[in-house]
Amino acid sequence: MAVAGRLPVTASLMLGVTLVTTVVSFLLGVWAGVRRGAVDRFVQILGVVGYALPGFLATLVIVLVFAVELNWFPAIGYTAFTESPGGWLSTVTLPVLSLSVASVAGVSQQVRGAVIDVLRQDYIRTLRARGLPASRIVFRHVLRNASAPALSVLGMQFVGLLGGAVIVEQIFGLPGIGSMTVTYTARGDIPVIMTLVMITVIGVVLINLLVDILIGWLNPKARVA
Amino acid sequence: MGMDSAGRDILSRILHGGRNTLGGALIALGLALALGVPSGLYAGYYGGRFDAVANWIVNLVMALPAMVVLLASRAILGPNVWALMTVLGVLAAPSFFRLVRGIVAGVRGELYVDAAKVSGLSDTRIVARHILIVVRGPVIIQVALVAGVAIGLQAGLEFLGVGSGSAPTWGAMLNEAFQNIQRAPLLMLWPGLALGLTNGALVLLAGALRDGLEDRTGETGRSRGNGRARRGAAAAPAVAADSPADRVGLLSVRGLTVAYTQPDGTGKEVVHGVDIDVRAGEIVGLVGESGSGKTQTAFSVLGILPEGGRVSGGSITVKGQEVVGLPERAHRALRGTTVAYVPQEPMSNLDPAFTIGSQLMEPMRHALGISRKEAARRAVDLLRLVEIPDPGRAFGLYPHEISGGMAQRVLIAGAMSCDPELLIADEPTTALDVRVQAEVLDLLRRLQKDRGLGVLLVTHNLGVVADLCDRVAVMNAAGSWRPAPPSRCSAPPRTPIPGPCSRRPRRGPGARPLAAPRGEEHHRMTATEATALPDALLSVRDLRVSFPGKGWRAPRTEVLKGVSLDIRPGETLGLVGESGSGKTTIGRAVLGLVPVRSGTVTFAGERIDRADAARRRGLSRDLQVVFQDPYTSLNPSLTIGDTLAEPLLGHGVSAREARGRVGDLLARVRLPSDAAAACPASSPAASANASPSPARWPCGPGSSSATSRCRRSTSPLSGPFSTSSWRSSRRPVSPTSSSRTTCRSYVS
Repeated sequence: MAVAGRLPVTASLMLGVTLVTTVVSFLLGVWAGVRRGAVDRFVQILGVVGYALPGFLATLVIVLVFAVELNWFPAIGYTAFTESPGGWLSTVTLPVLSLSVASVAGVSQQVRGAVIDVLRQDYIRTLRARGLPASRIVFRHVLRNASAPALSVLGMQFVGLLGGAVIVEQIFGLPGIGSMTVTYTARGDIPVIMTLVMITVIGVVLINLLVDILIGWLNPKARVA
Repeated sequence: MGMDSAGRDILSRILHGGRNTLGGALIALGLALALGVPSGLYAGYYGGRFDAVANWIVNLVMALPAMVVLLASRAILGPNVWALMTVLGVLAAPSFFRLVRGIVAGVRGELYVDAAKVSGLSDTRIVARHILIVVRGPVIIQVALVAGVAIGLQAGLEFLGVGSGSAPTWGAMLNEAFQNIQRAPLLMLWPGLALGLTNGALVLLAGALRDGLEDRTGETGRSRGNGRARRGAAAAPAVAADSPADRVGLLSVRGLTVAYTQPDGTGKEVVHGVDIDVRAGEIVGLVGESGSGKTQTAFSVLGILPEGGRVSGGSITVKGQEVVGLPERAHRALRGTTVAYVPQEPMSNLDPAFTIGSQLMEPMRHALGISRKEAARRAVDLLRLVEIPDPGRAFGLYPHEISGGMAQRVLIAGAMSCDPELLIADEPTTALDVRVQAEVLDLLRRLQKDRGLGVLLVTHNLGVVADLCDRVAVMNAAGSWRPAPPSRCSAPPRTPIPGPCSRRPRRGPGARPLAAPRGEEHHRMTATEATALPDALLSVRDLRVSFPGKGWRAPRTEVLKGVSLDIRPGETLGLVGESGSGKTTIGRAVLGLVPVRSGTVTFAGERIDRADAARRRGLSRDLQVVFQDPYTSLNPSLTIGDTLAEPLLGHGVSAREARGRVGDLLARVRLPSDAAAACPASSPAASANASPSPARWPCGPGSSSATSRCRRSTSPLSGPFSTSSWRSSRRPVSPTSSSRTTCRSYVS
């Protein structure tokens, strides 16, 4: 079946988005939560804009700017990583960027909220009272405690990402699971559609399992519950 | 706006297309609300099998990517936009279910829901008044967010060309524009703007609603950029009148005032001029009612006032060095090594993500610059120093794996880790069991003696003061410092303050131990009389309570294994025991908040252990409770006046009369009348605890009230009370209400 050939396309998209989202959201979220003030407002506005823009609209804007006007990246097509890593990178960059807008907006808000919550905890004050510098408290204690709730949101967002992938693959002409779903929907081929739903659900469950394991490692209390 | 590729007017198509897009989203939203909110309320409030099944279904639905399922439904149901939106509604329902269920299940366990039950309100009324108000805000916000998602998904479907087909929608228009992206990229602008602005408006609305609701619950002013003002805004020392000779001690505070920046930019003073001196090797008690600013004073010395708080005047010197206005870096150097801090609440003051050992090592490695190995060795030594059994094992445990008493020892070890000279202990025993309290106080005293520490002991417990302190500074409720009569406060070391406050608990003449439960073993409390005393107001016989075990078909946990006790009219019974021994459960079983497995509870001659909901509502006029935790006993989203009026309204009193009675009640617990309009978050703990108590008065004086006072009756004496046996007496054990009153009036 054609699924095996299409899986790596969607998987590389998801991997890229997860990496970009984690790194960018944690940077922005911690920055906003600790510094507050202007940075915080910037992140919050970014959150609103990122959220308000429907995924495909953001994608269209990105295509228009980077592919059509600036012509930095190909607007369409896919090169397998095994064929040419450089080609692969240039074909997945814009799709990953498009999908990351919404998830960065969502997750960075969560990180910000979690950081602010943790900063208000008694143990943070006690750590300050022990004479630890603020940077150490933030990067060791706040980050670790705030990452568990933020990661669980990332896991939840993954479902939405798969939905976004359907549109993004269609726009960029990527031969992934998402564009396959659209093709077979138009044809009304129900068995294939059911298989595709099944595969995406398995993907979601696996990712959330991973997230739960990670949270258990970060938060020892969650291990017992 | 011009024409599109087929020469059709764009504006009219946008206006018309909006109807399809927004209408579809509205259907999805309505269905999601109708499915999600009621089921979430039911599952959260009652739990049980419905909850389990609903959760299972919801988890299943949430694992489905909406877009993929919509495409699949499109393949099966055909290109019908309304049918697709119905599917979307079902897919969105879990987000409401989970939100509502989570909040309700959290609120369900709150004491204020128990308080509402005890005050005789029906489930419907509790849900309507106490629970819906908590759920309302988040649901409104969620509505805006889900609407945005629904609009986005609907437009996305149309964009993919698998929507309704011919009708003009924003998504379909974008699709058309995308086809012509090379020729006329501007075609995308208008439908794109329409979508973006609609969703933007929804998100902004949600944000505004959230901010509005947060403001209501009294959490203003904690956000928005006052972070910067936190540092550096400290006032210059204003008081320098004292001659240096007066201030040679370890700690010297003169005329300290602390103010918090209010949302409107003004400062609210919470500490109004405090003078304290602590010399090396002495323990100074800082006493006062809650809300008098004791803790704020302690934080000022350490330089760890919360956001928005600042020292607005006065002077603090530590070993002769002025710390008001000291740069953060220099102040930090003093913390841990010169001034150390033991907090009030042991469990919340340890970072749950790190082992005890690593939390002890961290400050040492940082402040003393020692190696990892050396720090580990010192950490184990410290654990041994604070008398933790098996320190090697405790080193590797996480905070949630140890008891509260042990956690407090760990915190003391942490405070001692960098050899400080001054220890500030902020009510170090308040959160602990009576038995553990005494041990922790002994530990503090021993450490202080061995190391010649100066200790500033913040407390509201005069028993502790009498036992431990060399000198006392008293703060009153208004926050202003008042020197206590020298005869009392400058009493020589170890001399108890005269008066009833320092009285040790004594067994009354009629007292006899009923049983001595220790740890897991609960012996049967053998009462002398097999049947209820004829004149007893409350009589409990052979009470057994058990809870379902955790996990599937786990055995039930027995909490009470046959408890008997009697209370006669006018009598106060002290119920003492280790935490976990079931003190609170006895009270809750009497009130009907937990089901009684076997045994009898008789109140005024009537069996009430099997009373139904209607009878319980009737009983609520005669049987009332003051819960342990003042904050969680009050609904944070209701004003104090609303909370107090609620039972009255529930019993059919008119709104007007209820208002009047609320005023009377507040006056009786000596709260200002404007407290009725305040939210619990803004009231100090003591007034919070004062306010739910009158819930038993509305029904008129003279009604006998058996109040569970487990916590309150033991707290004033704490320290010396180290026996662990259950006692019952025919007479108040010792902390009678009269002695409490004396303590209070002495302080204020």
